[in-house]
Amino acid sequence: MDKLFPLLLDFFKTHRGLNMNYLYHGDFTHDLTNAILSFAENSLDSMGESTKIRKRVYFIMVESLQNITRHQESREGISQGFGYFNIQGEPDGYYITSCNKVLNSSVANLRSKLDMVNSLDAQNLKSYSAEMLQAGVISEKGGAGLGLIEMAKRSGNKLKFHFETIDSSHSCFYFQIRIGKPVVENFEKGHNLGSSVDSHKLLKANGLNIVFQGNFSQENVKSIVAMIEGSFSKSNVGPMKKKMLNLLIELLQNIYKHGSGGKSAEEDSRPGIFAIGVRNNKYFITSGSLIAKHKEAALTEKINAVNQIDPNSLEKLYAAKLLEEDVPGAKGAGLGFIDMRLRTGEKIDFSLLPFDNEHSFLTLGLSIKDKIEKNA
Amino acid sequence: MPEALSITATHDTPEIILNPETGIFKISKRSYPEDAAGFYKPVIDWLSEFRQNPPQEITFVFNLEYYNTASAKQIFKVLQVLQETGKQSKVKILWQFFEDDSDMEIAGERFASLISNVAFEIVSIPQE
Repeated sequence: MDKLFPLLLDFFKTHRGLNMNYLYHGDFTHDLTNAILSFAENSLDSMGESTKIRKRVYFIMVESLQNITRHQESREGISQGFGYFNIQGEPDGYYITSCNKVLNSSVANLRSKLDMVNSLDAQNLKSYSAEMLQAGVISEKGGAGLGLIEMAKRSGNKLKFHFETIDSSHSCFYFQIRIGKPVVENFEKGHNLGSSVDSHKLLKANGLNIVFQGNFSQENVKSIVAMIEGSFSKSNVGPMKKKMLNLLIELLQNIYKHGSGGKSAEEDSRPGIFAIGVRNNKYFITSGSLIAKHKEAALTEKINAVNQIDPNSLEKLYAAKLLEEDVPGAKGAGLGFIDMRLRTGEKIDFSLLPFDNEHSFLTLGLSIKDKIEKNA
Repeated sequence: MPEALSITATHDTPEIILNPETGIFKISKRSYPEDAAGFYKPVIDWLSEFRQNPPQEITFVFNLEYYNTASAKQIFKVLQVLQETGKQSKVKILWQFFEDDSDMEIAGERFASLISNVAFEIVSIPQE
């Protein structure tokens, strides 16, 4: 994952100003949609967002996600596994971006619909939506165009969109809505659709399905675990799902237990990032977090020590750690890296990249095999 | 004999039932709390008291979906108390794993190799 680590650092740096950034690329199932919704709800809740904002974000998310699932069905020969969803928490509001594949032949019609909605002011949006409801005009795909109107109405912002041509018959339809926070109305930065489109390209190019950047605490580790459970609930990754979750819990708890760079030393959340993807038909997970420079040498030594041990001695080391007395105030059992190696059957891939004067960026990468040979 | 101890599961802590009257002793679901030592302390204390005057036979069930390494250490402590209990009573440990979860099977084998005085059974159960 040597290429992925610097990339993770770049991404982390670029989006450092966000309160949270969640991205998903791939198939959208009903369970995944629910998982994303409750994850976002929990995240907004833990960030202390007002009910008004939460409700608006929720509504826009539901509409955007339904838009993806509605259009991903292969009625027009559009292949699955193409949806994209992104929610970015900026100081001035939430930016919700979705993407689905559309036929080039329907681009013009879609564009004129969007332009029309954008041309309406708040008052006109209101009367137009009432009119449409009464007339009961429903488009062929079950959408009434009403979705667009409602989204524009509730966000109070213009709809931002972009069509990216894929081939002679298909385009990627990107669509972004901002739910602004009134408190910082003066600092409005406008839409940032370009950044979300770039992120999507990055996910596609690197086989990434899920990326989340934000502040990690036990609370959001719980929401993330629930979200990943939902993401893979109906797919064929059964045996790997538990392994993935076990490893993910360990990686994420490492971020907030040993990470650094929080708003204050007392704060129990730490900035970090994680990604899940597929490479060479194997799932992998990777995490990035800040660690204090003075801890770098000891950490490197610790991981190298675990990497150098032969598998049989690894079991002995695990047993020895179990038998050790608890160290008062210790944040873990000292078993994390040993466990990662035992579960993956591989050495731990890691790097420490320069970040700033006080911190390095620690990245860990784990590949998930279907089955580990015993004593391998 | 201590009174029954019952802890309801949350998303990151397991369900724990320690009931001498019904003979049900069970730790199940997920275990990845922030402070594993703090969470398991009452459980280990309870078992240590229970050990002073145990019944002739007990079966202790583990049925975990996943746990973090901090919990692994605490689970091992629970097993160590059961190992002590096994000197006076007939203790059976039933380590259940879902049939597709080879990691949990391996974990059971690992614990079994480190614990004596008990009958340690590792059993596959169908996925829910």
